[in-house]
Amino acid sequence: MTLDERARSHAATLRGQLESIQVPEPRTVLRRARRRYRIGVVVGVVVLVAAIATPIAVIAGRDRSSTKIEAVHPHRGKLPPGGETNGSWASIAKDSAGLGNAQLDALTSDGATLLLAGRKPGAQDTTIWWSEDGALWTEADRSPSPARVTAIGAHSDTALAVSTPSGTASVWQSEDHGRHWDRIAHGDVFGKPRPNNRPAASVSGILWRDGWWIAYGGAANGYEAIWISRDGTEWRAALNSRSSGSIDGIVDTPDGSLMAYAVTGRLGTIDSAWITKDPTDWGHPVPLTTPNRYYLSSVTPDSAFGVGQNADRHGDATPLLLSADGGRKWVEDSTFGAIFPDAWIWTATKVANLYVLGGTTTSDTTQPGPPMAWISTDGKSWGAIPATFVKPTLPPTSIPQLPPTGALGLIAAVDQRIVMMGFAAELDRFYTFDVASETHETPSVTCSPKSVPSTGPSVRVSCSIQGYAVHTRVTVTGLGPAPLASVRTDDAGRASFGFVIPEFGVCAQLPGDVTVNASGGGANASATIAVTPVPLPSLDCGPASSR
Amino acid sequence: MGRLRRVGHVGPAGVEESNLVPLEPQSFDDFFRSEYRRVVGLAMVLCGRLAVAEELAQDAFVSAYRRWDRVRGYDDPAAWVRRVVVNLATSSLRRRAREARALARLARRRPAETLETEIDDEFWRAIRALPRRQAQCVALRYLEDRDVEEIASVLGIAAPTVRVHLHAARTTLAERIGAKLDEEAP
Repeated sequence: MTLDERARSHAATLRGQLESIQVPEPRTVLRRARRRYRIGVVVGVVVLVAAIATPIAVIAGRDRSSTKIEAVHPHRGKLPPGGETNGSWASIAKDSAGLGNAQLDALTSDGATLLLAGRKPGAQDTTIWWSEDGALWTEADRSPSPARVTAIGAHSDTALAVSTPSGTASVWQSEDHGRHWDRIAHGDVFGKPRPNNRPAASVSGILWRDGWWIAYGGAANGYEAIWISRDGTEWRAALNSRSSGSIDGIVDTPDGSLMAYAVTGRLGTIDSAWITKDPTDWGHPVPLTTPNRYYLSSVTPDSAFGVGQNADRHGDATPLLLSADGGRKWVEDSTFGAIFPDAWIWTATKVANLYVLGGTTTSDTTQPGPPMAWISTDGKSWGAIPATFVKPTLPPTSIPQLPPTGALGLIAAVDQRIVMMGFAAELDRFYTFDVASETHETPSVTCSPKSVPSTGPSVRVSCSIQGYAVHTRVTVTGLGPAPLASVRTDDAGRASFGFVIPEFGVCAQLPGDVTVNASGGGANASATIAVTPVPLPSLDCGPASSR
Repeated sequence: MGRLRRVGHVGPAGVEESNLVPLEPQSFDDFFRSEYRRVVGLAMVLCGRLAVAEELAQDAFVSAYRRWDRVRGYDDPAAWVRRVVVNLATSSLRRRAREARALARLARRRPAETLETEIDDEFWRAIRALPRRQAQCVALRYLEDRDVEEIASVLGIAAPTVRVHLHAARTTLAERIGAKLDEEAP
């Protein structure tokens, strides 16, 4: 049988199968599509009612005036009403933070300010919020409008926001850390769509490298696309791709190159990545190797970790993938997978020198799992959001969400505070992690006196520890196997304790320096109390003895 | 007589018939009902799963509905919907979301309603394994029996390009499934 004969036979069989499927009522299909939009409107009404009932004090706290914000939020470390802390972690209600029940689309940091793009309930236009501490957010005085921002990037005090969803692209710029936004480009900014038939270009991310703004996504012709611009007003294509799809991300590699990755193959296959040191010329795609037909859905900015997904196997956990060669060859990270077998990761990134993974612990797209984030200093040992913060309180959704409603996917840092947010309006909280209190203050023990004589009466030693995790039990050892003390650290990760070095006689002197070890919350530190030898008198102490 | 447009239906024997009829303002509902199965079929060849194919097809029809005043004036609205569904089927991010919706929809169905959910035989798998444009060309060629010009029109590419894709695709397919290649050009 020839190829065409077989094709005709298979096609006839398939057409026969298609005859058996039920054609839905067109109105039913349209209603289902409309329902997705309506949910946003319903949420808007709920929020409006809640806002009317909210005490004036809370409303005042949302006022744009910076002085009032400071009154509610006097200094770093304090949280908006309803915020909870657990060690370096905090859980903050979006509403009291100034974000209402907004659906969130993009988050970035310019180093001094976090910029967040989202949509208020029922709104089509984007609102941009800025925050200098990640805990309390202020709405920009002038947000892009009309626009729905899909990508936001920042460099120094300049930020760009790109809106492409409705076919006509707009680029907005802020030169004051996100307080005011002005449109600087509009129209066929990212290429002219072909008449009537093609979806317009879509920009899914934007970043600054080597004097260029680099935007990426999918071109109007359906191919993967990267555009570059010096100032955001005029863009030109920098990628000559001839395969349909969309660039999913651009990250740095250890050798100083940039890597753009895309899922362009058939389902579950990666077949395109471009690596270049020149953002104006991306050359030809290079092959990537991944295990198990996973494709990369997110890659850390240093190309060390990626998230593997396989659309053929919805319901599976999404493994963490490792690369040791700048993102070309990937293997499954068995360490993370063994500790967190249910992890469903959506975003992998590196901020404030920490690896941060955001996601949830279920892949069921209608039964939201608890929001979850995992943090690591070295990519080997991982911590997670405290269990008290991750109760699965979200109700099931009638419309499946991808990522699942509970998943955290927006991650950025400012001033050593990492902010982790979810996209969904239904997720009413977000999370922060303060790096400074755990990793920048080195654990230490200080004791007084710093030296004692080798013989003499008992000595009381006073010690303090600092740089430990807050509210953490720390065990102190030193004189023998039994603990000297067990203390609990305070809000600042500090604690004090004391112990007594007993009397030592001339025939049973302290054998050597006393080392005080304090261990707890994964941190260790020690202090040494020097023992000053006391000259022995001419005395026969007999056989060696010990106390 | 005004402009003409191609209409067709799948006959009892599963053979598509075509006619040229005067362009009448067509209702969206009629258009939907007449084209739905074939658009689903095209999506199914490209993605392999009926549930996902239905999501893709329905989204394509919703797109058409939103522009119906314009789309119905095209010479071939059916080609427009096919192009949309082909693009949707190859947009990874969009398809992931639709797969999620489809899976949730399947989860709510009883098992008996999920029969024939996949076309997973060697032939269709081999087509899906082709480079994307080649797969689109042969899907339109074999499933819809469209000629080169029509395929070019649906995909928005030049006819010679379609010929190149079809030639490459057929050569690859013949090798992969061990079939003899027909001598005539596609």
